[in-house]
Amino acid sequence: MKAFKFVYLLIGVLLAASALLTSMRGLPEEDRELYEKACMLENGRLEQIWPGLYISHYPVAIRKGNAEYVIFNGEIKKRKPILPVVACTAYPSEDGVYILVPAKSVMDSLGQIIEGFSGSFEDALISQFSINNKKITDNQYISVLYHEAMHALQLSWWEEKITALAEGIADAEVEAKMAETESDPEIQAMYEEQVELLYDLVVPEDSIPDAGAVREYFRIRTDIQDMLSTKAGIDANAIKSYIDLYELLEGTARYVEARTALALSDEELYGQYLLSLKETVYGREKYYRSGMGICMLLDRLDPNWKQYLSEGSLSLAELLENVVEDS
Amino acid sequence: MLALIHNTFRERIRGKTFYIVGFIGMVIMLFITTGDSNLTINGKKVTGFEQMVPVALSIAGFVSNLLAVMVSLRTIPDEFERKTTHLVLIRGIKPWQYMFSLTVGNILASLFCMFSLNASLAIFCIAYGRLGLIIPAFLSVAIMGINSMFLSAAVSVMSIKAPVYITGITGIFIYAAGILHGVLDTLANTAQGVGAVLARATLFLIPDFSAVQQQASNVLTGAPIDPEPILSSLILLYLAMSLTFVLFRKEV
Repeated sequence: MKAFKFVYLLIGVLLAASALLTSMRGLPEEDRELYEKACMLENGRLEQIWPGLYISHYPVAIRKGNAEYVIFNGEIKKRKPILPVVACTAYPSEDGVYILVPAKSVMDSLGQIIEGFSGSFEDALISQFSINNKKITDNQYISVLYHEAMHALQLSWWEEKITALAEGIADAEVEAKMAETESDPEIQAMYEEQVELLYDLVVPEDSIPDAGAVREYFRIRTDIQDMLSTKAGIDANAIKSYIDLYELLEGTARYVEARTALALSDEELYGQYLLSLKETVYGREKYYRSGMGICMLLDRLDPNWKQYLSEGSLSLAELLENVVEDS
Repeated sequence: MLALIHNTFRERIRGKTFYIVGFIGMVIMLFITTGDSNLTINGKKVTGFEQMVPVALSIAGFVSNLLAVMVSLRTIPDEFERKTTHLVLIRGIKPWQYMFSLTVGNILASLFCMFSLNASLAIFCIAYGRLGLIIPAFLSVAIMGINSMFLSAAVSVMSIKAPVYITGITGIFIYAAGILHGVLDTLANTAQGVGAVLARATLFLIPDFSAVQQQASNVLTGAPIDPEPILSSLILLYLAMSLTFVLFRKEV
């Protein structure tokens, strides 16, 4: 019996020691490789996506479990997570703006949650029970990294612009009131029309967008804002500021995400971003998409639009309107 | 102890439930590996023997884990009900040795069950001339067996104290939570408050079955294996088995 106890105890010690050794490995190799692959885009390809956008200019904190691994200047430092919850975001700190992202394995789970709740729950569940789970691809992960890098750039460069738009919203409940009004069938029909117009403008990527069609897009856009204002009882300027703010912040970030997929030669992933323009969605997500669509249109109308946007005080939509009128 | 383990194992694999469920599992496996399927995974149609092997292993894994719960559910309560415990203890066997042996017997029966379910796969590998798949498939099943072993151990330990129906429900809950571990863990980490803390504590005690299955899949596809989830599961299995040293019923 003594031999049994000894062997049993020895197995326990060996298991504990092995687990301790594996937990000390630090940042998973997979995440390090993905970060390095993302940095490889800095060989000139990024300048075409967004001038001045460099992921290596910001510390990237990758969260895995209860630890965060901060990659910066060729070093990896382990620390306690800065936020209490897992998040993909850019975070201003005393020593600069941090890019916070979960590790790829965590993002795989997040992807499943999103699939489960917004797509087919059954598919997500079956995938979970299967031995080969559905995951987000490496290119999707890198694209998300650049989405957050774009937010870091915005926080560093566009502080005044963002503050002005945020002040213009004035009413803190604009989002909730707009969300309530979106269930109105008349507004939903207008949203569908707006989505179709933008998709038809964006998707034939090789031609110059028709100025008349762009004006028609802005007409329906203004009509929607007026109707939202009337039905929700919110000031029209507050609605405009709200939409402009999210198109500026999230639309440009989504545009960077899509262009990153293209820079990675992932036509399939880029195609998914284009296809997303065809789908009518509600809530804040629709401004991610409309903002991206406007950026794509601006690409074809004026190659210097990113410079104008960064230097001027115009919103994305105003910039497009101006460019169309001038052309 | 060895005699007790052997006896428990033999008794378990004699059970009618085991054969019925095992037979159903084998039939499912035969259909999957031989029939034309309309199955699509990640939007792609799954065709051909090689592509069907992971699907067959997934289904066999699912059935095996349910079997592990069923096989282990009644072993210990039955011993107490039949008063066999008294007869064993008066022969000088200590309570912990008895509980440990019954638990190990259950674990071995669950493993036997899993390998039996997958035995037909080896036959089909030979029949299709895919001999190279046999060893990866065997290793893959062995890794997936860790999940069955944990479920069996957890259910056995719980059945020492809890009523059968509560043990059964908890066993299924552990399986579901283990399979959805990654998703639940992420959800718990995106929330705050007492509920989130409780969820994190519960998930800490349940292995990530899905991550273990992923390593089994990596063996099959030749991708690198991450030992961390396997080791974590083995530690939790070890801890579950260690509980048999301290848990016993008052009535014998």
